[in-house]
Amino acid sequence: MISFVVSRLLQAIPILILVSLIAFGIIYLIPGDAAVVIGGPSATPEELEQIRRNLGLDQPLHVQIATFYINLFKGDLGRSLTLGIPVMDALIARSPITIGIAIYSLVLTIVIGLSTGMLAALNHNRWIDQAATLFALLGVSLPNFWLSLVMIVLFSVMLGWLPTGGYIPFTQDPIGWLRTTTLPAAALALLQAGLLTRITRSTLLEVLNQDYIRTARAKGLPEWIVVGRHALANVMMPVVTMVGLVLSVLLSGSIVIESIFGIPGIGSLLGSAISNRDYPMIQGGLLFVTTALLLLNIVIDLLYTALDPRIRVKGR
Amino acid sequence: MTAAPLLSVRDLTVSFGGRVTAVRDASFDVRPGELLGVVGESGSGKSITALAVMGLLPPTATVTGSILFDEQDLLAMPRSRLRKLRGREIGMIFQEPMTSLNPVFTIGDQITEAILVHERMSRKAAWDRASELLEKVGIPAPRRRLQDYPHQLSGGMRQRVMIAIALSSSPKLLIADEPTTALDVTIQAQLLDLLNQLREDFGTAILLITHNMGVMAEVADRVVVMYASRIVEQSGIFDLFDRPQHPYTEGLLGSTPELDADTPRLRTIAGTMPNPSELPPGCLFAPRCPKVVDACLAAQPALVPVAPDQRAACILAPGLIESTP
Amino acid sequence: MSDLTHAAQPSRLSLALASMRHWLRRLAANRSFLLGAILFGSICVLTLLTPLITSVDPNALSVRNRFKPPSDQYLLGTDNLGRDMLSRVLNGARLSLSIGFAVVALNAVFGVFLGAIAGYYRRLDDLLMRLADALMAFPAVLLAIGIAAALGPSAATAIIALAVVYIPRTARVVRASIMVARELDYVQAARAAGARDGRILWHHILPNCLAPLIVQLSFVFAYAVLSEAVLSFLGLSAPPTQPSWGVLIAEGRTYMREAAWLTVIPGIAIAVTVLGLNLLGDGLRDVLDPRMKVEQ
Ligand SMILES: Nc1ncnc2c1ncn2[C@@H]1O[C@H](COP(=O)(O)OP(=O)(O)OP(=O)(O)O)[C@@H](O)[C@H]1O
Ligand SMILES: [Mg+2]
Repeated sequence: MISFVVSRLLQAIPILILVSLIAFGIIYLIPGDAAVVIGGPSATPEELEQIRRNLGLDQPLHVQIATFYINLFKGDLGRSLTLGIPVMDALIARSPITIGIAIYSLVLTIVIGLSTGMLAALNHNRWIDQAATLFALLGVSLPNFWLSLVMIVLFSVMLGWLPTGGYIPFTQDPIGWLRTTTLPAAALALLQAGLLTRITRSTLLEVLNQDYIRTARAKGLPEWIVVGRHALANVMMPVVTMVGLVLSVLLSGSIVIESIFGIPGIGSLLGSAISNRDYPMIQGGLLFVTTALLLLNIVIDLLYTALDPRIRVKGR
Repeated sequence: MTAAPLLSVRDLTVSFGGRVTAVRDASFDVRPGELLGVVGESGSGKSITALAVMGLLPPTATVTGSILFDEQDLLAMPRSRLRKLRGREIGMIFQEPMTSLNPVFTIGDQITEAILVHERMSRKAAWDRASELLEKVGIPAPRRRLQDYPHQLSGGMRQRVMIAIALSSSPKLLIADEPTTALDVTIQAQLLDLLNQLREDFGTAILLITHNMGVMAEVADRVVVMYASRIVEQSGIFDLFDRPQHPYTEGLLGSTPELDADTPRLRTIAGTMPNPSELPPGCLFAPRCPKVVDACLAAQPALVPVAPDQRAACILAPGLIESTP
Repeated sequence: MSDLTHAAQPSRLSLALASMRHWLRRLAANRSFLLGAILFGSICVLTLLTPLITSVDPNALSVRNRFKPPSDQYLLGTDNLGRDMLSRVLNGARLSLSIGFAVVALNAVFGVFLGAIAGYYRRLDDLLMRLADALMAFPAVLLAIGIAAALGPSAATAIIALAVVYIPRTARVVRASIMVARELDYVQAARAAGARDGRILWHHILPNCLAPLIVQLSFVFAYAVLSEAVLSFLGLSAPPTQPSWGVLIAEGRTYMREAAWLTVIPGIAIAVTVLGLNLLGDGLRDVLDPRMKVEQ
C-alpha cells in the first residue's frame, strides 16, 4: 500500500512540474508590456519599474524560471499586487470556506446524483427514467451562474426562505452557515448531479444485467438487498472515479458562484484578482487549486483500490 | 412412478414480446430424489425453462401454464412467497461460474448471506455452516477460502462455491444449468460425482441441464429432450439409449461424444435449429429429419405416450407404429 | 444506383454516398439526435435569419422605453437603456455560436494534427501526452479564465482560451482511435505493401477516427458555448458593444428583481443551445460509435 502511494506521488511529479510551468507562463500571454497592462495607462515610469521588479520581469527568463521554482519549493507563490500580502497566505486563509462549500456541494451532488440515477435505472424506459434523463441533461446544459441568479430570485427575493448572499462561518453559527451556503452549494450540485445521474444510471443498468445479480435473486434475497447491496457495491466504483471530475468542475464553478453570493472564498478571491489584473494571484490560485486536485485524485485512486478487491487482493 | 412429483410443470409457455416463443407447451415432472436431465441444442429453451421455475425470467417474458412445486403453483403465488421458496426449497447453479459470484464480496459473505436470509442464526454459526458446506463440496482449507474473493478462485472452485450456496439451506430441488460446460473435463467429472453424492446423501431432487448425452448416461434417471422450444421426447434413461423414439434423439445419440472428449457440444446433426421467431409449419424437426415424410409437414405432432414411461412427439415413433397395427 | 451493378468495383463516391445514406437513416431513427437537431437547428436558423426577424439595432438606446416587459411591440422586452432584447439576444446568438464554432474548428484541425502525431508517429507521443495531462489537470473553465485574463478581453481571447482547454481532450480521443486503427489488418497490409505514411494516415487511419471525432466535436461545441458564457459573464470575452449571451446575463443581473426577463431569456437561449448540442452528441455517439455506449 505504501509503495502504491509513493509510486502515485512520483508519477504526479512530472505533471506538477508542467502544471506549474503553464501557470508560470500565463503572464507571458499578456500582449505587449505586462507592466503597462498591469499598471494601467496612468502609471509613471517609476511605478512601471516597481511592477517589473516585483514580478521579476527585469530578470532574464531562465533566472525568472529558476526563482519561480525555488520560491515554489519554499511554498512562496509571490505577493498579491492589490492585497499586498503573500498569495499563499491569502489562499490558505480563504480555503476553508471554499472547501466547506465544496464538501457540502459534493454531498448534495452524490445524494441527488445517486438517487436519481438509481431511480432511473430501476424504472428503465418508464416516465421516471425519461424525467431523470432530462434532469441529467439539463444539469450539464444550464449555465450555473445563471441558475444561481434564478435561484436567488426564486428562493430569496420571492419566497424569502434564504438570504440573497453573504457568509456566516460554521464555527460562529452552524445554522447561519447552512442558510448562507445552501443556495450556492445547491446551484453547484444541481449541475454536477446531472453528470453523476448519467453514470449511475448506465452503470446500474449494466450491473443489473450481470449474472451475480441473478445469483443474488436465486438465493431468495429481497429485492432491496439485491439492489442496495449487491448492485450498489458495484456501482460505487465508477462513481468514486467520478468524484475527481465532479470536484474539478465544482471548483471552476466556485469563481462565479462565490462572487455572485458574496462568499469570501478562493473563488471570489480569484474573481476579484481577475478584475484587478492581479496576475500573481491568478497564477497562484490556478496552481494552488490544480495541485490540490491532483493530490485529491491520488486519494481517490487509493479509495478506489480499497473498494475493489480485484485490485486490493492479488490472486493466489 | 410411485411418489407424488416434487415439481410438476404443465403446458409451460414462455414468450418474449409476442414474437419469440422460447418454450412451448412444456410438461414434465421431477420426482423426489430423482435426477431429471434436460438435453437439447443451444437455444432450445433449456435455461428459460429453468429460470421460469425459479421465477427469475427477465421482466419482458410472458409465462403461461402452471408450475406446481410441492403442490403449490409457483406462477400463481405472490412474489414474496416465491422469493422465500427460492434458495430455501429450490436452489440453482448457473451456466457461468466465472461471472455468477459478486466480485466485491468474499466467498464467506456470499454463502452466509444465503443462509441468513432463510434461517435465524448468529453470524458466527452461519460462518461455521458455510465452512462445512465448502468442505462438503470438496474445497480444501475451507476456513481460509471463506476470506477469499471470487477472483482468487479457479472456475471449478467457483462452481463449487455456487453449489455450496445452492445447497446452503438444503433445498428439496436443485436446478443445475450446464454446471460443467465452462470447465475442463477432469473438473467436470468431479462435479458430476459431487452431484451424485448429494443425491445419495440428502435425497435432493436434481434438474440437470446439459448438452452432453455422455453426462446424461452417467447420472440421469430420466431425460427430457428439447428441440426448438418444444419437448420432443421424455423417457427413462435406459429406454432412451436403447430405444430412442424421436429421430432428433437418435441424432443426439449418434453425436454423443465420450465424456472425456474435448468437444462436448452436439454438432453432428446436419442443418441448424429454426429461428424461434420464424418457425416452419408442421413438425419443427422436419427440415432436418432423415426420416421425414409428407405427413410430417401437416401438423406439429403432440407429445404422446409411445411406450411405458416414454413419450415422444413424432408420428413415426417406433413405439407408436408397433402398438397400432 | 443501376450503374453500380454493372461496375465491377463500385466507385469511392457511390460507396461513400451509400454509407452516408445508411448513417442518416439510423440517425433519423434516433430520438436523442432528432430532438437535439430540432433544438440546435432552430437556434441556428433563428441566428441566420436575424436580419429578416428584426432590423432594430441591438445597441439603439431608447430611454423612454426602458424596462418594457415582453409584449407585442417588444417581443422579449427592453433593458435598462431601452434596448430591444429580441435584437440583442439574436445578435448575441451570432457571437456565441461563432465563438463556439471557431473553437470547434480549431479543435478539429489541431486535435487531429496533434492526435495523429502522437498516435501514429509515436515519437512525440510521450511529450505531447504529458503536456495534455498537465493541461487537463487544470479545472477546464478555471484555465480558460486564467488564459483569458492574461490575453485581455476580446472574442479572439475567448476562442484561444477555450481552444487551449479543449484541444488536449480532442487530441486524446483522436490518438486513442488512431492507435486502434493502426493495428488493423488492412492498415498493416498497406504498410507492408510499402505505402507512404501520409497516404496510410489519410486514406486508412483517419476515416476510422471520424466517428469518435464527430461525437467529441459536438460535445466540445456544447462546452464551448457554456464556457464562453462564463467568460463573457466575467467580462473576459467580447466587449459589451457586441453582447454575447453571458454579457446579457451579467447586465440583466442588476435588475433581476424588477426585470427578471433580462436575465432569464438569455439563460434559456444558452440552455436550449447546449441541451440541443448535448442531445445531438448523445445521438451521434449511440449511432456512430456504439463502443462508447454502455447500455443498449
Ligand atoms: N431475454 C430474452 N429476450 C428474447 N429472447 C430470449 C431472451 N432470452 C432467451 N431468449 C431466446 O430464448 C431461446 C431459448 O434460450 P435458452 O437460453 O433457454 O437456450 P438454452 O437451451 O439454454 O441454450 P444454451 O444451451 O445455449 O444455454 C433462444 O432462442 C433465445 O434467443
Ligand atoms: Mg442455457
